[in-house]
Amino acid sequence: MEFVTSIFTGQNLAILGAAVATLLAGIGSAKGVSKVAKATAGLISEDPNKYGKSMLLQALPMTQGIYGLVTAFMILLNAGVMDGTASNLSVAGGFYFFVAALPIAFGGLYSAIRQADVAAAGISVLAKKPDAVGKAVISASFVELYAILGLLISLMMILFGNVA
Amino acid sequence: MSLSTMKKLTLLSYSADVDAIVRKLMNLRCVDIRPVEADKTALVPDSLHVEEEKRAAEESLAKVQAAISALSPYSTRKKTFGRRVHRVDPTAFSKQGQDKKALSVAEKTQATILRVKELEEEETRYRNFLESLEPWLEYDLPLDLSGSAKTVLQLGSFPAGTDSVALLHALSEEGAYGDLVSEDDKGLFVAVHYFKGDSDRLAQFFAKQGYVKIQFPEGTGSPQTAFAATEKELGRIKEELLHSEEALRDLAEDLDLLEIESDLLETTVNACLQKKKLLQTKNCALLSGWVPEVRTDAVLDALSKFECACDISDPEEGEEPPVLLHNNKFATNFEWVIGMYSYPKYGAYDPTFIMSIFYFIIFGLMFADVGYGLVLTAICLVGVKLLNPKPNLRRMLYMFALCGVSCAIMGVLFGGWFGDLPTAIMENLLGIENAKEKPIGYFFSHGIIINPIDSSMEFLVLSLAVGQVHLMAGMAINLVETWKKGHPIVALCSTLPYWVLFAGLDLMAPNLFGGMGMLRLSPSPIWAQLAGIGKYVALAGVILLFLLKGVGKKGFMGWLAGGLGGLYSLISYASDLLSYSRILALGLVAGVIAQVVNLLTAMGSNGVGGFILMLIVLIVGHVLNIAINLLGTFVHAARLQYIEFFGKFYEDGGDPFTPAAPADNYTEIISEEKP
Repeated sequence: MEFVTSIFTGQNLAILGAAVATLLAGIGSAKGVSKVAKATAGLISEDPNKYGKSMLLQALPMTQGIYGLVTAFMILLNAGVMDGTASNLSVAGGFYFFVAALPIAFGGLYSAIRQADVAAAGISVLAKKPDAVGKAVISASFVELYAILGLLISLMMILFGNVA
Repeated sequence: MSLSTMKKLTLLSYSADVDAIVRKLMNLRCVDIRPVEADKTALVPDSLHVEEEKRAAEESLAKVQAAISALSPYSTRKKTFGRRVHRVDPTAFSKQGQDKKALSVAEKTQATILRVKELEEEETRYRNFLESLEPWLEYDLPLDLSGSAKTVLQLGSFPAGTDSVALLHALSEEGAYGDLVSEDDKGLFVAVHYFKGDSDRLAQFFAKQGYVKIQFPEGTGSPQTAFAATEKELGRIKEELLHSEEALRDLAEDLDLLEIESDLLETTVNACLQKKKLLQTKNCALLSGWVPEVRTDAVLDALSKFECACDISDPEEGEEPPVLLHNNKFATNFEWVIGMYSYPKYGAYDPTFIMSIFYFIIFGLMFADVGYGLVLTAICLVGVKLLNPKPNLRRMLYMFALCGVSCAIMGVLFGGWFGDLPTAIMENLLGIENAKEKPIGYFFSHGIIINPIDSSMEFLVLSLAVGQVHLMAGMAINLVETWKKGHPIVALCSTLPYWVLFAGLDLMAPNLFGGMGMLRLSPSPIWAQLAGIGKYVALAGVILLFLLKGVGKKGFMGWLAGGLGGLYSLISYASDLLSYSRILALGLVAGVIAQVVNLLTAMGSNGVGGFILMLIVLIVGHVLNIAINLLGTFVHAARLQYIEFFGKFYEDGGDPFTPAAPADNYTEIISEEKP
């Protein structure tokens, strides 16, 4: 029991939140980017000149990982990990930060993968109708909104939480 | 502000003049030529020669374009990032024989490139031969000698790592004589002499030892002479390649000519495509197309030089003229945002101007930062300068430049200067504590109105307020348009109840939001009084909506269904309004990421190295933030126009006006042939 309480300190829970935000959003982005990049490989084997245009589509699912990173950073900062005051954090306070990480963690994970589906379909648009690729980019960026909303709520929870 | 009025041009001319007329109209860039629909069975269409002309022009064009891309690396012209524009008079160009010269340059280039390819292939072949000769340089018999009447002389290699002494011994046991010529990491190169009668036995031995036979072509001679001869050939090839490169460099001097010719040929191809739309017989041709009303005089004036009969008429019933948007200098740059959705139907309202104002404001709110805005504007303006882009791209860049200005304005209002960079500098570099509360820091961090990060609830209310104005503007357009169509009562009945409802909700808003602690203003007793009135106004709005929304529908059931539909529509209005909360979402995300970048920068260590590291983090971070947020801001600002705003009134499905025009990849036509 002592072992369990020593692990679940406020500071550790807050760090767990930061880790989850980076991890899950990062996994989503990694999976998403690789999916689009694979689709691009097929395209450039036919027409290497289109690589430049495909880069935007490939880059779209990267942002969720960055959002996760930003969230993790804000947690580390606000929980006091950076300036060493985190050891005073209560277990409930640490848990608050952990929960605050969840919207971007899961929103980022799922939206990056789903965004990659749309972006990969956009790659085939690029192959057949290069002029319409702008519209494919726009479609893909709609999916991003839900990562932005997740990030927004995560950040608001972190910034405005009155945690002792 | 409005759609250009279109007139229909019908023109009957002699077949001989068709080419000149079409080119003339193309130079005017104001006639959208359409296929002539007529009973073709009654006539004998004659357009084979157009097909022929098009094919010839396409062939030359392909040649010229190939030459341009082949010669570009050899050009000594000053490098530019963007489009190079030559001012050219096509008639003078061909009169001076420049077009023939360009074509001959293209042909010479093609021949030279072909020759270079041949030479390169030859070079590889000789190099491979040289490589195969190398192990045999010590060999003193002719390489193509294959034995005498009774003996066989076989050249070949054993795998690397074979023990040479044992091998030669084994060979002599098989009744053959092996002469080890050389040995390297690729293998043992051995000339084997044996009697013809032993061939079968030795073949088995060779197979077991992994012997690879090498056969030099007849006439190779001794290795030394062959080597020298090959080296000589390679020297000759190298020299010829240098010559070819020199020739290409010379040809590249005429790159300008080629570029002009490429555009002229493309124009010819385009003219052929236009001519194919005409109804043409052996002697005469019928052309049909659309002209903006303001340009009809210019067209008639140009046509007066030809013997032809032309007629300008209004569109007939059932005809759908193409759509040309006509806007002021500011709004013109936003037209392509409309184009991405769909042009308005001919005769419908052109919302470009009003949309451009809202787009300008909403873009700025979503990306409210002085630093980012100015960077965006600067990049776009430099882009116009460097790229020298075609009109469409130019307008797009100008639009983003304007949006950057909007971001900067909103940045001053809402306190965004590369996020919180000014206060971060004050606190970390200048050592001022609590910089946000100092007068200068207060201005930079709080802006003139509020800072969305510190007062995000107020900013949410502001976003929704912008949304309400936007939606009401859309409804107002609908009101005016329906009124103009002769249904003033329906127009009023389907709009005013919503406005009454909005007014009621607005009266309730301060009390509602204030009560939720969303506004940091001190509550005032007037709020509650306003809310008391607002409650009844909103209720009146809902009742009016139910009573009036069905006005104009047939019968009692129609009226009832309309009224219930009106009540139901409140759900979609609520979701429309809430959709504007994305202004807050995007605005906050840009701001917070900027703050994180500044925080990361502040963590940098001391010293020169630390300072440089800080600077890199700062620049890379902010560039990344601009890149991430720019796309989102652009897309979501556009979405609010397409779904929420256009949904209230827009009639889409217009066919864009695309006038026949000369190619402008490299050229600008300076003058018509003078009379």
